[in-house]
Amino acid sequence: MTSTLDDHWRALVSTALLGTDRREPPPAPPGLLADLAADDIQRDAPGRVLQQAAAVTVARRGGLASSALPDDGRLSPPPSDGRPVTSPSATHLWQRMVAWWPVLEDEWLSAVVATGRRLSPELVVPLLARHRGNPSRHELVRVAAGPLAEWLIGWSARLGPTSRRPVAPESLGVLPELSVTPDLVALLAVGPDEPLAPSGGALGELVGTLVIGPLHAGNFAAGHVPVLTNVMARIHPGVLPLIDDALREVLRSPTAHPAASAVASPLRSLVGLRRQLLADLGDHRVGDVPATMPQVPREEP
Amino acid sequence: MPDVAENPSLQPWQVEQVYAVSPSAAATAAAEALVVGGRWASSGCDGRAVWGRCSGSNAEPYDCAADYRMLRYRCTCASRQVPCKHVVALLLMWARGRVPAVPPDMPGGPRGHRPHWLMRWLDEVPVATGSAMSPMPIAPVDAAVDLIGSPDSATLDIPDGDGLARDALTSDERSPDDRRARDQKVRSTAAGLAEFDRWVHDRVRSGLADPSLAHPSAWDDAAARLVDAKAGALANRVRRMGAAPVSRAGRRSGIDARVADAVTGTASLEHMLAELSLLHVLADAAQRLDTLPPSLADSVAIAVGWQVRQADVLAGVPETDDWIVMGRSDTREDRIEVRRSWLRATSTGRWAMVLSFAAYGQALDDSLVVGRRLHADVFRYPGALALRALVGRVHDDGDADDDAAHLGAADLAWTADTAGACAEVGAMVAAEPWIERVPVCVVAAPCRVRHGWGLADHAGVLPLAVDGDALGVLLACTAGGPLPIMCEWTPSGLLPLAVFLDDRAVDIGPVADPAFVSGGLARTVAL
Repeated sequence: MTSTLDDHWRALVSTALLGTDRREPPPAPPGLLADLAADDIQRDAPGRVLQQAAAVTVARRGGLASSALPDDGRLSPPPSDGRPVTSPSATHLWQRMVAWWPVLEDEWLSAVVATGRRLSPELVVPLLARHRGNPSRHELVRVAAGPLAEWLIGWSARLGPTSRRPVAPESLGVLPELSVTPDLVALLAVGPDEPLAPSGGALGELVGTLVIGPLHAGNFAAGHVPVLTNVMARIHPGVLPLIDDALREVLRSPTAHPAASAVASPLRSLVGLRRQLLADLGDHRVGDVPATMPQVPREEP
Repeated sequence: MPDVAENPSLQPWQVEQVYAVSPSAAATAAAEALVVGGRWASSGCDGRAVWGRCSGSNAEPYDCAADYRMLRYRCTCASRQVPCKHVVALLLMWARGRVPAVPPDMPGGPRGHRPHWLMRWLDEVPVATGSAMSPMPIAPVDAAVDLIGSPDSATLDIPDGDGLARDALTSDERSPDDRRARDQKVRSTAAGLAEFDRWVHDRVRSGLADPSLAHPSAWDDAAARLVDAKAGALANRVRRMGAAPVSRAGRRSGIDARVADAVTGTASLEHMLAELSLLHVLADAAQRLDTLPPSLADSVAIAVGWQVRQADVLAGVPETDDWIVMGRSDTREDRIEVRRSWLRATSTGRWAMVLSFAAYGQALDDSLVVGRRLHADVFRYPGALALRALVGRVHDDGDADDDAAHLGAADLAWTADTAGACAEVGAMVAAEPWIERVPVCVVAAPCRVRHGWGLADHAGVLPLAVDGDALGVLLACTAGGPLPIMCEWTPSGLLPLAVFLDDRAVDIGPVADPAFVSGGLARTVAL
């Protein structure tokens, strides 16, 4: 029956392609299609083609059946990777990050590797595709994704790097330098892995002096946001809770300069997301450090 | 002279009564052979007569009628028998409920629904009071006319639009103006569908290789006429055909490319023929809704584009259950982005489809996140499958931190193997042959097939209709192994919408162009 149906369908397609003015519709094969033709007599040739085509279409769709698996059809799985995968919330945070603060992505990828995790599978393809033009980042993604990345690239060359330039292993995980104005360079002097006093220590005071105080006074305008963004993306994670609280105070303070909120709002969004990203990965450097920012002018009672 | 004694509540004859008036057993046997729907056109009956046109050996169909109040018969065939086999066949069809009743209050004057030749013939002999042999019900006709309501928005089902439900009043409840407006819309839609069906016939007559079909304008023009006829859903399907690959190939280099495409693009031509044939079926069915079973008539009406008001759906009886959002898929329909969210009831396994629409710059509803569970009232639109639904009151939408929102293995108990998925698709196609998407959830692994990819399990392989990032994410999530995968069956293959891992649901369905709609979408949810 299947071959009869297929033959009839091919004849109908040929007729429809040429038109019934040039070719007569094929007779319905014996069986249900012939019964249909007898029960529902069509007066013209196009009607007969359409009737039979509809019947064959419904029969083929309704009679959908799975076919046999080809011998070489089954996929060999990638080698196993024992590292725990990043959480579902990490995926959600990554989506927010690439949409709003892609400047954080390098640090996040490095933190995934540093904390002994691997990328959750739904992130591997978008990350490989996103960074295929940047050999260093692409390599970092491959390390973070493990054998799954190589397995996927084997199936789709589109996920492979566009350049075959080798990447030095020691350069992996080294964060690219971001441009910062000379007056703020001191904020990045403390390395991200250096220990920090619980209250932020000298760095905390420096943040108050160089960022929060001038921000409150209106010395920063919206044009300074890109530079301050770079500072917040690279500053030691241990002071992020302090900065978050201080920015909140600035936004609440009635004595803050009117221009301060235009700068403080995006910075607080960035700082909050960076804290979430690192905390989600279990990064010990971000914790709830007590907020002590004496440099922030308080409201008058 | 008016037929003052006509009774619209008369019942059709019994088959035995028809046999009784047949001139001979041979005539009865010959008549039985003519009792097939395809032979008859323009048939109808009312409180006095039954009539129709029968295709016979002659090139011109025979006009047949029976004045069953005065026991008179008429046919344009050459037979000397009265009633002839054609009239006996007509009476048999009427007795078996296969002749549509026509309401007596159709506009156009008294008995304006009858053909002119019939009116002249009936007027020859006025009805004598009390001469009825049996009463005939007219209510089903009115109900059928109610079904083809009065949509004001032609392209898509806009919530709370003017529609079917407003017309779901009895004739007595409608004002004469309402009735006239409704009848005008019904006639307009029927005329538009008939015109479209002629257009389809002409395309098949002149051939699908006609270069004019390579231009989207050919399809857009046909779609525009359907929009004018208030058949918006049908118009959308026509418009989509104008964007088919075969058309683009032909458009690039004219007829030569088109003919060449006949060799290389057979699949596209096959799709075009299949779609045209189903559109023909829909257009034909929509012109005779009154002869269809009610649920099928509802399905046809909705597939054509007639609408049901949201308020009327919400006035129905809800299905209260734990629903899992199994998948989501965005598609552009002309200038509207449409989001389908597929829900599945945990207790019955029944599917429900919730639609959301957004024009340029608007946001689609993102409240139904794939992988979430909600305890809610779901109200279904009418139809044979009744897949489309609205979410009413949500009793518990347990957020991500709530245990109630976390799915367990039992929640995915309704998954099937590929053979079961085929059976589900078959059942839904049988119920609504024009259906374009059927939800299925299979536990299967991606695999290579001859020309692409498939989903395989112990029962076999079903082809996938996906590529690009969605295929990559599917491969990454499954790593070549079996997992529960929610798909939409389409005529081109399975379109995977979501993958369910142990600890998360990953939404891999097609996403609306962010340049067209606003808002974001959570694509991974913890389970």
